[in-house]
Amino acid sequence: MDLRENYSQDLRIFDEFYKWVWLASIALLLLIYSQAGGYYAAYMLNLIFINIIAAVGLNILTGYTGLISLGHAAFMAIGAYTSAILTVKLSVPFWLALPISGAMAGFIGFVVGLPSLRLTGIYLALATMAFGFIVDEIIIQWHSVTGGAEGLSALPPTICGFVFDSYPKYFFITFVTLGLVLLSAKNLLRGSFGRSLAAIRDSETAAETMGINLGWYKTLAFTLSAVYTGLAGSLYAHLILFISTDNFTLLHSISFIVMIVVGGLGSIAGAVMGAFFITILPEIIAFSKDWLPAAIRNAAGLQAAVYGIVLMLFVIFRPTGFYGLWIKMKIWWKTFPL
Amino acid sequence: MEFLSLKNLTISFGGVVALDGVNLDVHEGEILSIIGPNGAGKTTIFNCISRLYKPDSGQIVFEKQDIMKHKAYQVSKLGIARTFQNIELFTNMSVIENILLGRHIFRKCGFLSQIFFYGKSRNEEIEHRRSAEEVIDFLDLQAHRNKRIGELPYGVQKLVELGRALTLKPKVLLMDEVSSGMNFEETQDLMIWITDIREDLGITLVLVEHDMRLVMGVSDRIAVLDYGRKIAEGRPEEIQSNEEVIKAYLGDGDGTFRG
Repeated sequence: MDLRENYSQDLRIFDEFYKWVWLASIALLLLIYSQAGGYYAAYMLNLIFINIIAAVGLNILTGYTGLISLGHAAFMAIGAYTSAILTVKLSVPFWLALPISGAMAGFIGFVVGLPSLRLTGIYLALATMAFGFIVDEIIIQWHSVTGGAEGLSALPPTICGFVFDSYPKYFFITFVTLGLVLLSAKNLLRGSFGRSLAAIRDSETAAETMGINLGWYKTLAFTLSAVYTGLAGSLYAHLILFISTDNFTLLHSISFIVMIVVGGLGSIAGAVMGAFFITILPEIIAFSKDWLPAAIRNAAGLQAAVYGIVLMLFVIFRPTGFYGLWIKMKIWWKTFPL
Repeated sequence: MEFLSLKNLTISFGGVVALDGVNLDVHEGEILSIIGPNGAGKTTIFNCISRLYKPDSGQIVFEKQDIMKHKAYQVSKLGIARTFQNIELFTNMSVIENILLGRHIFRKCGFLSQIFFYGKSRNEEIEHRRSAEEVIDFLDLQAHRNKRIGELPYGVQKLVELGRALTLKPKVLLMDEVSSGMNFEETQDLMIWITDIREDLGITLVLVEHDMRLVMGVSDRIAVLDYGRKIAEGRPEEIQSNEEVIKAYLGDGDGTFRG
């Protein structure tokens, strides 16, 4: 029903209670599946959840504020390396290292965000891409701290004496973190903060005359986006237990952009759907290889090519992404016989 | 007492002098219209007041405050709101969200307390909605409340922009060609709203307008610009019979047309 009786109904996370039931059921199913579906399924679920966190972060910047970043893998790297170094070299407990990695990425994001006040569009994309290369180079050169090109090992996290040393166990950590990320992002975006970001995206002139400090809000968007991505990086490091710069390349940055475009720019649900689809895409490719002609099956760079094709198809035929499709389907069902 | 006054305002773009030493006083509580042929510098005045343009010289004083010392995003907090000639709405957002943006300057809860969205920050958001709803009622926008701006006809978009400016609860409202793109009936309604805005909300209005019927109908005073200079100022009936004004609009009688 579209009928509202008071203003707080407009502010709910879900407009109807049954959607909470849906969400809880899906969460429960995923928990059961992660524990009973075998190691590989649990690994994939972890990876999907981590990518969702990063995609939510990028969507705040790109989908909501309209600022593009081709350097988000670097924020993930900063989070991952911070967490690995803290836990292994300085014996900081994981529950503390996780938020610190987010904060560290956020701080770097704040610094990177400052020049972004003057850059837009393609120039910002280039600047953030350069930032990605710089971070890469620093990690490789700073051998004593980061392990350089050889990479760095991380440890399975321990919380209160319990060691999360397998993928199914680790899923509890990603599960809770994702929950907190989604809740905090939703809270920020449904209120005046989210509106201000979207206002900047739609018209900077009007946003400014409404009293929005463009510089401050753009920097905040950059910072917040980097915090979430840094958290994802930390979780990633403790999932795969060995990180190197190969895990955080330009292609990873691009894959985050593909996630939010495919899922739907400017919505949390879109980031979730997009991250899910793009994370399982390599599986889909691997699965369908048997049906492909040998020349394509064995071609190098098949995965990158598929990313590119998927991105192009979505931009041309469904620029609102999966989320837009979902909304369209809902409207179609509601008005079905008409 | 001085309310809003422009003193010797001059600005040029390249070789074009858009405003040439314009002096203009806006009195509290009046409806002042600025008219003039295309390119006379009407909108430039608004852009200077809202700090989107930086004048080469001159002063803008509002309630004894030097506006030049404020940044563009601080102007609305001083009590100056405006609308734009070529609608500047947030096109991917709904009507209610656009109007809610007008509440931005009234927010008290910071960024961090919004993460929890509970208690104080939630109540503040509810207060924003209540206030936005008053504006929607005032302008009869209920039917369009949840529609996206892109779906709305031009005339309604103009109203939403007016509503968004009113939500700022300004002391003075700069309206840049609100009537353009409106049909006859909408313009009629607009005249009533303009007087309502002054009478009921006590807001001083500065209009840039091309619709002479509207201008003559609602204005207390009219200022006429031509080529960046103020050529006349006075009550509507004075302006209608002013030689300079007739010349600016219709040419100087020897057959040369200046449009």
